[in-house]
Amino acid sequence: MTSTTLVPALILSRTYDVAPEHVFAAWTDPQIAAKFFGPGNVKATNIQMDVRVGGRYSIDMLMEDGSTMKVGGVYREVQRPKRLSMTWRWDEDDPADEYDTLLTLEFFDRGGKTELVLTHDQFLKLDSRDNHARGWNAILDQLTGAL
Amino acid sequence: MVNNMNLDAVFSALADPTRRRIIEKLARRPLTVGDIAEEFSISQPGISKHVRVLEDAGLLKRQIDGRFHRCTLTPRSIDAASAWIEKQRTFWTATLDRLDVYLKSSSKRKK
Repeated sequence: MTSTTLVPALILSRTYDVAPEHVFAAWTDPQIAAKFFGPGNVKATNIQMDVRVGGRYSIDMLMEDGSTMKVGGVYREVQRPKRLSMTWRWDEDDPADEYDTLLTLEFFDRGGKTELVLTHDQFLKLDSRDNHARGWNAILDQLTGAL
Repeated sequence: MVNNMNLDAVFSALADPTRRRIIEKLARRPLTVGDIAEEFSISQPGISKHVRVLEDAGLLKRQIDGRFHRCTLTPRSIDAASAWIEKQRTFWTATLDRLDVYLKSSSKRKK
């Protein structure tokens, strides 16, 4: 047994035949996300995305059996069109299974194509609290500016 | 016990390199806290602390045998963590496939 089998970060990579701007746009435009999010006949609906550090997103996944799974989180890094990172939490039936994870998307320009690397960390890194704090501080600053 | 699987505790218990190595050692055979301390050249109280975190996460159980605390791996909570990861893999693989289909169809329309 090695440590990689104990705490594997899920890493997937794909290359798409379009430039990073288009792939990045697909992840940050609710109308496009609705077309591809989820497996098979799952429909992504009611998508809300406030794409900025500290902004929230939420997606309802309408399952084939008619049930709905909710997922949502907070954007931690937004570097268009290179990098997008967000917390990710499934709204589970059993609250004990609800669990914050970290989803990071990296968009590498490969001569007009895009290599997308998706990393889903199963546990929040130690720096997560700091980044959260940074995000919330940004929100609070903006709120102060608005008052 | 099975219902009380707390992924949060499991993942944070495993997020420490020393604790992962303790698990790897225990995967071979049960060890006493003293055995583990010897292997790691960390003080016994230090190891005890790590062992307690693993125990609280349901990753190992401790049997008190006279003055020895014998640690045995209880892999069920690792199974729960693996199952969770597998579920995410299925989800993302399908999502990335569908993104490919979408990008292909939209770039055709533009051409």
